Amino acid sequence: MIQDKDHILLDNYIEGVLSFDEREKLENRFKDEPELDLFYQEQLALIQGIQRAGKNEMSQLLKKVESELPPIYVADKGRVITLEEEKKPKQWIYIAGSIAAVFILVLFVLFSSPSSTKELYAVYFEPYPNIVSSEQRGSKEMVKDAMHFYDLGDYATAIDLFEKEEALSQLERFYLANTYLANNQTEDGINTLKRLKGELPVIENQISWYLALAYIKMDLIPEAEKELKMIIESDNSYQKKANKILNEID
Amino acid sequence: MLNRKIIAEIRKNQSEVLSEIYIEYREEFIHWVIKNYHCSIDDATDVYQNVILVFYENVLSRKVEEIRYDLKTYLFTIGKNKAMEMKRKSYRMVGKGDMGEYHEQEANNENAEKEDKIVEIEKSFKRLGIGCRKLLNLFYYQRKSIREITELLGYKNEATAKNQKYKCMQKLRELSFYSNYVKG
Repeated sequence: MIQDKDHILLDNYIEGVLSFDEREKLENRFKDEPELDLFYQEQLALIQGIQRAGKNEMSQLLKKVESELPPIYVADKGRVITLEEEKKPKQWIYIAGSIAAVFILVLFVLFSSPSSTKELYAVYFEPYPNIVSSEQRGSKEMVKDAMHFYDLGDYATAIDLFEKEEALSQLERFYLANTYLANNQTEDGINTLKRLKGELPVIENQISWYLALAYIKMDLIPEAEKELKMIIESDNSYQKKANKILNEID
Repeated sequence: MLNRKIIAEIRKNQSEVLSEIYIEYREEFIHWVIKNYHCSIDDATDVYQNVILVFYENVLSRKVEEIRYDLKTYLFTIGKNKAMEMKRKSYRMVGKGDMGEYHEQEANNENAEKEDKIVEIEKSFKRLGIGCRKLLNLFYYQRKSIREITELLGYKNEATAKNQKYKCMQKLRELSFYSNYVKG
Protein backbone atom coordinates (compact mmCIF):
# COMPACT_ATOMS: atom_id res chain seq x y z
CA MET A 1 0.00 0.00 0.00
CA ILE A 2 1.39 3.38 -0.99
CA GLN A 3 1.52 5.86 1.87
CA ASP A 4 0.15 9.41 1.54
CA LYS A 5 3.60 10.90 2.12
CA ASP A 6 4.89 8.82 -0.82
CA HIS A 7 2.16 10.26 -3.04
CA ILE A 8 3.41 13.74 -2.24
CA LEU A 9 7.02 12.62 -2.67
CA LEU A 10 6.25 11.17 -6.12
CA ASP A 11 4.36 14.28 -7.19
CA ASN A 12 7.35 16.40 -6.20
CA TYR A 13 9.69 14.01 -8.01
CA ILE A 14 7.65 14.25 -11.20
CA GLU A 15 7.47 18.03 -10.86
CA GLY A 16 11.28 18.07 -10.48
CA VAL A 17 11.27 19.98 -7.20
CA LEU A 18 13.16 17.45 -5.04
CA SER A 19 16.70 18.13 -3.92
CA PHE A 20 19.52 16.00 -5.32
CA ASP A 21 19.68 13.91 -2.12
CA GLU A 22 15.92 13.35 -1.95
CA ARG A 23 15.88 12.35 -5.60
CA GLU A 24 18.73 9.87 -5.18
CA LYS A 25 17.10 8.35 -2.11
CA LEU A 26 13.80 7.89 -3.94
CA GLU A 27 15.47 6.38 -7.01
CA ASN A 28 17.18 3.84 -4.75
CA ARG A 29 13.81 2.99 -3.23
CA PHE A 30 12.44 2.26 -6.72
CA LYS A 31 15.03 -0.53 -6.98
CA ASP A 32 14.08 -2.08 -3.65
CA GLU A 33 10.31 -1.46 -3.64
CA PRO A 34 8.70 -2.74 -6.84
CA GLU A 35 5.27 -1.61 -5.66
CA LEU A 36 6.48 1.97 -5.39
CA ASP A 37 8.17 1.72 -8.79
CA LEU A 38 4.98 0.38 -10.39
CA PHE A 39 2.94 3.13 -8.77
CA TYR A 40 5.37 5.72 -10.15
CA GLN A 41 5.17 4.24 -13.66
CA GLU A 42 1.37 4.30 -13.46
CA GLN A 43 1.39 7.87 -12.23
CA LEU A 44 3.55 8.91 -15.22
CA ALA A 45 1.22 7.15 -17.64
CA LEU A 46 -1.83 8.80 -16.05
CA ILE A 47 -0.27 12.23 -16.45
CA GLN A 48 0.55 11.49 -20.09
CA GLY A 49 -3.05 10.37 -20.64
CA ILE A 50 -4.40 13.59 -19.08
CA GLN A 51 -2.02 15.68 -21.19
CA ARG A 52 -2.99 13.80 -24.34
CA ALA A 53 -6.67 14.47 -23.60
CA GLY A 54 -5.89 18.18 -23.10
CA LYS A 55 -3.93 18.32 -26.34
CA ASN A 56 -6.71 16.61 -28.27
CA GLU A 57 -9.25 19.02 -26.86
CA MET A 58 -7.18 22.00 -28.04
CA SER A 59 -6.62 20.33 -31.38
CA GLN A 60 -10.38 19.92 -31.80
CA LEU A 61 -10.84 23.58 -30.95
CA LEU A 62 -8.36 24.60 -33.69
CA LYS A 63 -10.11 22.30 -36.16
CA LYS A 64 -13.40 23.97 -35.28
CA VAL A 65 -11.85 27.41 -35.83
CA GLU A 66 -10.43 26.24 -39.18
CA SER A 67 -13.76 24.77 -40.30
CA GLU A 68 -15.50 28.11 -39.77
CA LEU A 69 -12.99 30.15 -41.76
CA PRO A 70 -13.22 30.90 -45.48
CA PRO A 71 -11.17 28.58 -47.71
CA ILE A 72 -7.64 29.58 -48.61
CA TYR A 73 -6.81 30.44 -52.18
CA VAL A 74 -3.50 29.31 -53.60
CA ALA A 75 -2.06 30.16 -56.98
CA ASP A 76 -1.14 26.88 -58.62
CA LYS A 77 0.65 27.08 -61.96
CA GLY A 78 -1.16 30.19 -62.99
CA ARG A 79 -4.65 29.24 -61.88
CA VAL A 80 -6.42 29.73 -58.60
CA ILE A 81 -7.57 26.76 -56.56
CA THR A 82 -9.30 26.42 -53.24
CA LEU A 83 -9.15 23.70 -50.63
CA GLU A 84 -12.38 22.16 -51.90
CA GLU A 85 -11.41 22.37 -55.52
CA GLU A 86 -8.11 20.72 -54.74
CA LYS A 87 -10.04 17.62 -53.71
CA LYS A 88 -11.95 17.36 -57.03
CA PRO A 89 -9.61 18.55 -59.77
CA LYS A 90 -11.81 18.43 -62.85
CA GLN A 91 -10.75 20.80 -65.58
CA TRP A 92 -14.22 21.29 -67.05
CA ILE A 93 -15.58 22.59 -63.75
CA TYR A 94 -13.05 25.43 -63.82
CA ILE A 95 -13.83 26.23 -67.44
CA ALA A 96 -17.60 26.16 -66.89
CA GLY A 97 -17.18 28.17 -63.71
CA SER A 98 -15.03 30.78 -65.43
CA ILE A 99 -17.52 31.16 -68.30
CA ALA A 100 -20.40 31.53 -65.84
CA ALA A 101 -18.43 34.04 -63.80
CA VAL A 102 -17.63 36.16 -66.88
CA PHE A 103 -21.29 35.97 -67.96
CA ILE A 104 -22.55 37.06 -64.55
CA LEU A 105 -19.97 39.85 -64.45
CA VAL A 106 -21.09 41.15 -67.87
CA LEU A 107 -24.75 41.09 -66.75
CA PHE A 108 -23.80 42.84 -63.53
CA VAL A 109 -21.88 45.59 -65.35
CA LEU A 110 -24.68 46.07 -67.91
CA PHE A 111 -27.65 46.12 -65.61
CA SER A 112 -26.53 47.16 -62.16
CA SER A 113 -26.23 50.68 -60.91
CA PRO A 114 -23.03 51.75 -59.12
CA SER A 115 -22.92 50.27 -55.64
CA SER A 116 -24.12 52.48 -52.86
CA THR A 117 -22.30 52.38 -49.56
CA LYS A 118 -25.17 50.37 -48.05
CA GLU A 119 -24.86 47.78 -50.82
CA LEU A 120 -21.14 47.61 -50.28
CA TYR A 121 -21.73 47.00 -46.61
CA ALA A 122 -24.24 44.24 -47.38
CA VAL A 123 -21.76 42.53 -49.68
CA TYR A 124 -18.86 42.58 -47.22
CA PHE A 125 -20.47 42.38 -43.82
CA GLU A 126 -20.67 39.01 -42.22
CA PRO A 127 -20.77 38.63 -38.41
CA TYR A 128 -17.44 37.46 -37.07
CA PRO A 129 -17.46 33.64 -36.70
CA ASN A 130 -17.99 32.29 -33.22
CA ILE A 131 -14.62 30.76 -32.53
CA VAL A 132 -14.99 30.35 -28.80
CA SER A 133 -16.14 26.93 -27.63
CA SER A 134 -18.81 27.02 -24.93
CA GLU A 135 -16.73 24.77 -22.61
CA GLN A 136 -13.89 27.26 -22.67
CA ARG A 137 -15.93 30.40 -22.37
CA GLY A 138 -15.76 30.39 -18.60
CA SER A 139 -18.59 30.54 -16.17
CA LYS A 140 -20.56 33.53 -17.53
CA GLU A 141 -23.88 31.85 -18.22
CA MET A 142 -25.33 35.01 -19.74
CA VAL A 143 -22.49 35.23 -22.28
CA LYS A 144 -22.82 31.55 -23.14
CA ASP A 145 -26.51 32.07 -23.86
CA ALA A 146 -25.80 35.28 -25.79
CA MET A 147 -23.31 33.44 -28.01
CA HIS A 148 -25.83 30.67 -28.52
CA PHE A 149 -28.35 33.18 -29.91
CA TYR A 150 -25.56 34.85 -31.88
CA ASP A 151 -24.91 31.50 -33.57
CA LEU A 152 -28.63 31.15 -34.29
CA GLY A 153 -28.76 34.64 -35.82
CA ASP A 154 -31.20 35.91 -33.16
CA TYR A 155 -29.21 39.09 -32.61
CA ALA A 156 -31.87 41.00 -30.63
CA THR A 157 -31.95 38.30 -27.92
CA ALA A 158 -28.15 38.05 -27.99
CA ILE A 159 -27.86 41.83 -27.39
CA ASP A 160 -30.33 41.60 -24.53
CA LEU A 161 -28.26 38.89 -22.86
CA PHE A 162 -24.90 40.56 -23.52
CA GLU A 163 -26.17 43.79 -22.00
CA LYS A 164 -27.29 41.98 -18.84
CA GLU A 165 -23.74 40.80 -18.17
CA GLU A 166 -21.95 43.40 -16.10
CA ALA A 167 -18.30 42.70 -16.87
CA LEU A 168 -17.75 41.70 -20.46
CA SER A 169 -14.22 40.82 -21.54
CA GLN A 170 -12.70 42.63 -24.53
CA LEU A 171 -13.42 39.72 -26.84
CA GLU A 172 -17.00 39.51 -25.58
CA ARG A 173 -17.41 43.23 -26.27
CA PHE A 174 -16.10 42.59 -29.78
CA TYR A 175 -18.86 40.02 -30.28
CA LEU A 176 -21.39 42.45 -28.81
CA ALA A 177 -20.26 45.04 -31.39
CA ASN A 178 -20.76 42.48 -34.15
CA THR A 179 -24.19 41.68 -32.77
CA TYR A 180 -25.13 45.37 -32.85
CA LEU A 181 -23.98 45.62 -36.46
CA ALA A 182 -25.87 42.48 -37.46
CA ASN A 183 -28.98 43.89 -35.77
CA ASN A 184 -28.69 47.18 -37.67
CA GLN A 185 -27.70 49.14 -34.53
CA THR A 186 -24.77 50.53 -36.43
CA GLU A 187 -24.06 53.49 -34.13
CA ASP A 188 -23.93 51.23 -31.06
CA GLY A 189 -21.61 48.94 -33.00
CA ILE A 190 -19.31 51.82 -33.90
CA ASN A 191 -19.18 53.11 -30.32
CA THR A 192 -18.38 49.66 -28.92
CA LEU A 193 -15.66 49.07 -31.49
CA LYS A 194 -14.15 52.53 -30.95
CA ARG A 195 -13.80 51.81 -27.23
CA LEU A 196 -12.04 48.53 -28.04
CA LYS A 197 -9.36 50.17 -30.17
CA GLY A 198 -5.91 49.53 -28.75
CA GLU A 199 -7.26 47.26 -26.02
CA LEU A 200 -6.88 43.91 -27.72
CA PRO A 201 -3.81 43.87 -30.00
CA VAL A 202 -4.41 40.38 -31.39
CA ILE A 203 -7.66 41.42 -33.06
CA GLU A 204 -6.76 45.01 -33.91
CA ASN A 205 -7.25 44.34 -37.64
CA GLN A 206 -10.61 42.69 -37.06
CA ILE A 207 -11.73 45.73 -35.05
CA SER A 208 -10.61 48.08 -37.83
CA TRP A 209 -12.32 45.94 -40.47
CA TYR A 210 -15.73 46.01 -38.77
CA LEU A 211 -15.35 49.65 -37.88
CA ALA A 212 -14.58 50.45 -41.53
CA LEU A 213 -17.65 48.55 -42.71
CA ALA A 214 -19.86 50.30 -40.16
CA TYR A 215 -18.51 53.71 -41.25
CA ILE A 216 -19.21 52.79 -44.88
CA LYS A 217 -22.79 51.96 -44.01
CA MET A 218 -23.14 55.35 -42.29
CA ASP A 219 -21.55 57.10 -45.31
CA LEU A 220 -18.62 58.22 -43.17
CA ILE A 221 -16.14 57.57 -45.96
CA PRO A 222 -13.03 59.44 -44.62
CA GLU A 223 -13.31 57.52 -41.32
CA ALA A 224 -13.73 54.24 -43.20
CA GLU A 225 -10.71 55.04 -45.38
CA LYS A 226 -8.60 55.70 -42.31
CA GLU A 227 -9.41 52.27 -40.85
CA LEU A 228 -8.90 50.48 -44.18
CA LYS A 229 -5.53 52.16 -44.67
CA MET A 230 -4.47 50.99 -41.22
CA ILE A 231 -5.36 47.42 -42.18
CA ILE A 232 -3.41 47.67 -45.43
CA GLU A 233 -0.30 48.91 -43.66
CA SER A 234 0.27 45.63 -41.84
CA ASP A 235 0.54 42.13 -43.23
CA ASN A 236 -2.71 40.37 -42.34
CA SER A 237 -5.61 38.35 -43.67
CA TYR A 238 -7.88 41.40 -44.16
CA GLN A 239 -5.36 43.23 -46.33
CA LYS A 240 -6.69 42.11 -49.74
CA LYS A 241 -10.32 42.75 -48.88
CA ALA A 242 -9.44 46.13 -47.41
CA ASN A 243 -7.58 47.10 -50.60
CA LYS A 244 -10.48 46.03 -52.75
CA ILE A 245 -13.11 47.89 -50.78
CA LEU A 246 -10.88 50.97 -50.63
CA ASN A 247 -10.73 50.99 -54.44
CA GLU A 248 -14.49 50.67 -54.60
CA ILE A 249 -15.20 53.63 -52.33
CA ASP A 250 -12.55 55.85 -53.93
CA MET B 1 6.05 44.35 -23.87
CA LEU B 2 3.36 43.32 -26.32
CA ASN B 3 4.32 39.66 -26.57
CA ARG B 4 4.55 39.27 -22.83
CA LYS B 5 1.03 40.68 -22.69
CA ILE B 6 -0.14 38.11 -25.23
CA ILE B 7 1.49 35.29 -23.29
CA ALA B 8 -0.23 36.41 -20.09
CA GLU B 9 -3.53 36.62 -21.98
CA ILE B 10 -3.12 33.09 -23.32
CA ARG B 11 -2.51 31.76 -19.82
CA LYS B 12 -5.60 33.57 -18.62
CA ASN B 13 -7.95 33.16 -21.53
CA GLN B 14 -6.29 30.42 -23.52
CA SER B 15 -8.73 29.37 -26.23
CA GLU B 16 -10.01 32.83 -27.12
CA VAL B 17 -6.62 34.45 -27.63
CA LEU B 18 -5.21 31.34 -29.25
CA SER B 19 -8.03 31.33 -31.81
CA GLU B 20 -7.32 34.95 -32.62
CA ILE B 21 -3.64 34.23 -33.15
CA TYR B 22 -4.60 31.24 -35.29
CA ILE B 23 -6.71 33.43 -37.57
CA GLU B 24 -4.18 36.26 -37.70
CA TYR B 25 -1.29 34.26 -39.21
CA ARG B 26 -3.20 31.41 -40.88
CA GLU B 27 -3.34 32.56 -44.47
CA GLU B 28 0.21 33.84 -44.64
CA PHE B 29 1.63 30.77 -42.92
CA ILE B 30 -0.21 28.27 -45.11
CA HIS B 31 0.86 30.09 -48.30
CA TRP B 32 4.43 30.13 -47.03
CA VAL B 33 4.49 26.38 -46.28
CA ILE B 34 2.95 25.50 -49.65
CA LYS B 35 5.42 27.71 -51.49
CA ASN B 36 8.53 26.54 -49.68
CA TYR B 37 7.76 22.90 -48.99
CA HIS B 38 5.55 22.08 -52.00
CA CYS B 39 2.78 20.37 -50.11
CA SER B 40 -1.02 20.35 -50.28
CA ILE B 41 -3.26 22.85 -48.48
CA ASP B 42 -4.38 20.04 -46.15
CA ASP B 43 -0.80 19.22 -45.14
CA ALA B 44 0.08 22.89 -44.71
CA THR B 45 -3.02 23.37 -42.53
CA ASP B 46 -1.99 20.37 -40.40
CA VAL B 47 1.47 21.86 -39.97
CA TYR B 48 -0.03 25.19 -38.95
CA GLN B 49 -2.34 23.62 -36.36
CA ASN B 50 0.62 21.70 -35.00
CA VAL B 51 2.64 24.91 -34.73
CA ILE B 52 -0.11 26.72 -32.83
CA LEU B 53 -0.41 23.75 -30.44
CA VAL B 54 3.35 23.65 -29.83
CA PHE B 55 3.36 27.40 -29.18
CA TYR B 56 0.42 27.03 -26.78
CA GLU B 57 2.05 24.17 -24.88
CA ASN B 58 5.34 26.07 -24.68
CA VAL B 59 3.44 28.96 -23.11
CA LEU B 60 1.69 26.66 -20.62
CA SER B 61 4.89 24.88 -19.61
CA ARG B 62 6.59 28.26 -19.24
CA LYS B 63 9.20 27.41 -21.83
CA VAL B 64 8.22 30.76 -23.31
CA GLU B 65 8.06 33.64 -20.87
CA GLU B 66 8.78 36.36 -23.35
CA ILE B 67 9.33 36.37 -27.08
CA ARG B 68 12.30 38.55 -27.88
CA TYR B 69 11.41 38.90 -31.54
CA ASP B 70 7.86 39.14 -32.80
CA LEU B 71 5.27 36.40 -32.50
CA LYS B 72 5.14 35.87 -36.26
CA THR B 73 8.87 35.10 -36.44
CA TYR B 74 8.51 32.73 -33.50
CA LEU B 75 5.63 30.84 -35.14
CA PHE B 76 7.39 30.65 -38.50
CA THR B 77 10.53 29.31 -36.83
CA ILE B 78 8.57 26.47 -35.23
CA GLY B 79 6.79 26.08 -38.57
CA LYS B 80 10.01 25.60 -40.47
CA ASN B 81 10.98 22.66 -38.25
CA LYS B 82 7.51 21.15 -38.37
CA ALA B 83 7.32 21.45 -42.17
CA MET B 84 10.73 19.80 -42.53
CA GLU B 85 9.65 17.01 -40.19
CA MET B 86 6.54 16.49 -42.34
CA LYS B 87 8.70 16.30 -45.48
CA ARG B 88 11.11 13.84 -43.86
CA LYS B 89 8.19 11.61 -42.88
CA SER B 90 6.78 11.68 -46.40
CA TYR B 91 10.20 10.77 -47.88
CA ARG B 92 10.46 7.86 -45.43
CA MET B 93 7.03 6.64 -46.47
CA VAL B 94 8.02 6.69 -50.15
CA GLY B 95 11.54 5.36 -49.64
CA LYS B 96 11.04 2.38 -47.37
CA GLY B 97 10.69 -1.09 -48.85
CA ASP B 98 9.38 -4.26 -47.24
CA MET B 99 12.41 -4.69 -44.98
CA GLY B 100 12.36 -1.05 -43.95
CA GLU B 101 8.74 -1.50 -43.05
CA TYR B 102 9.58 -4.61 -41.03
CA HIS B 103 12.30 -2.90 -38.99
CA GLU B 104 10.14 0.11 -38.41
CA GLN B 105 7.32 -2.14 -37.26
CA GLU B 106 9.64 -3.91 -34.84
CA ALA B 107 10.82 -0.61 -33.38
CA ASN B 108 7.24 0.59 -33.12
CA ASN B 109 6.18 -2.51 -31.20
CA GLU B 110 8.25 -1.38 -28.25
CA ASN B 111 6.19 1.75 -27.95
CA ALA B 112 2.89 0.21 -28.98
CA GLU B 113 2.09 -1.19 -25.55
CA LYS B 114 2.83 2.11 -23.86
CA GLU B 115 0.76 3.93 -26.47
CA ASP B 116 -2.21 1.58 -25.95
CA LYS B 117 -2.05 2.25 -22.23
CA ILE B 118 -2.14 6.02 -22.78
CA VAL B 119 -5.08 5.70 -25.16
CA GLU B 120 -6.92 3.67 -22.50
CA ILE B 121 -6.15 6.31 -19.85
CA GLU B 122 -7.44 9.02 -22.17
CA LYS B 123 -10.70 7.09 -22.54
CA SER B 124 -10.93 6.64 -18.76
CA PHE B 125 -10.26 10.35 -18.31
CA LYS B 126 -13.33 11.12 -20.42
CA ARG B 127 -15.40 8.92 -18.10
CA LEU B 128 -14.50 11.04 -15.06
CA GLY B 129 -16.94 13.67 -13.81
CA ILE B 130 -16.57 17.18 -15.20
CA GLY B 131 -15.15 18.48 -11.87
CA CYS B 132 -12.29 15.98 -11.87
CA ARG B 133 -11.64 16.49 -15.58
CA LYS B 134 -11.38 20.23 -15.10
CA LEU B 135 -9.12 19.96 -12.07
CA LEU B 136 -6.73 17.45 -13.61
CA ASN B 137 -6.64 19.33 -16.90
CA LEU B 138 -5.80 22.57 -15.10
CA PHE B 139 -3.04 20.97 -13.07
CA TYR B 140 -1.38 18.59 -15.51
CA TYR B 141 -2.12 20.15 -18.92
CA GLN B 142 -2.50 23.84 -18.25
CA ARG B 143 0.13 23.66 -15.50
CA LYS B 144 -1.76 25.87 -13.11
CA SER B 145 -0.58 25.87 -9.51
CA ILE B 146 -2.74 24.52 -6.70
CA ARG B 147 -3.20 28.11 -5.53
CA GLU B 148 -4.52 29.19 -8.96
CA ILE B 149 -6.79 26.14 -9.13
CA THR B 150 -8.17 26.88 -5.66
CA GLU B 151 -9.20 30.32 -6.88
CA LEU B 152 -10.43 29.23 -10.30
CA LEU B 153 -12.59 26.35 -9.08
CA GLY B 154 -13.61 28.00 -5.82
CA TYR B 155 -12.21 25.50 -3.33
CA LYS B 156 -12.20 26.46 0.35
CA ASN B 157 -8.42 26.33 0.58
CA GLU B 158 -5.36 24.79 -1.07
CA ALA B 159 -5.49 21.70 1.12
CA THR B 160 -9.03 20.94 -0.11
CA ALA B 161 -7.93 21.39 -3.72
CA LYS B 162 -4.93 19.11 -3.17
CA ASN B 163 -7.09 16.48 -1.53
CA GLN B 164 -9.57 16.64 -4.41
CA LYS B 165 -6.75 16.28 -6.91
CA TYR B 166 -5.54 13.17 -5.08
CA LYS B 167 -9.06 11.69 -5.12
CA CYS B 168 -9.47 12.41 -8.83
CA MET B 169 -6.14 10.74 -9.59
CA GLN B 170 -7.21 7.71 -7.58
CA LYS B 171 -10.47 7.54 -9.53
CA LEU B 172 -8.60 7.78 -12.81
CA ARG B 173 -6.14 5.12 -11.64
CA GLU B 174 -8.97 2.75 -10.80
CA LEU B 175 -10.74 3.35 -14.10
CA SER B 176 -7.54 2.96 -16.09
CA PHE B 177 -5.77 0.06 -14.43
CA TYR B 178 -8.21 -1.85 -12.27
CA SER B 179 -11.61 -1.65 -13.98
CA ASN B 180 -10.88 -4.90 -15.87
CA TYR B 181 -10.29 -6.75 -12.62
CA VAL B 182 -13.46 -5.32 -11.13
CA LYS B 183 -15.45 -6.35 -14.20
CA GLY B 184 -13.86 -9.82 -14.17
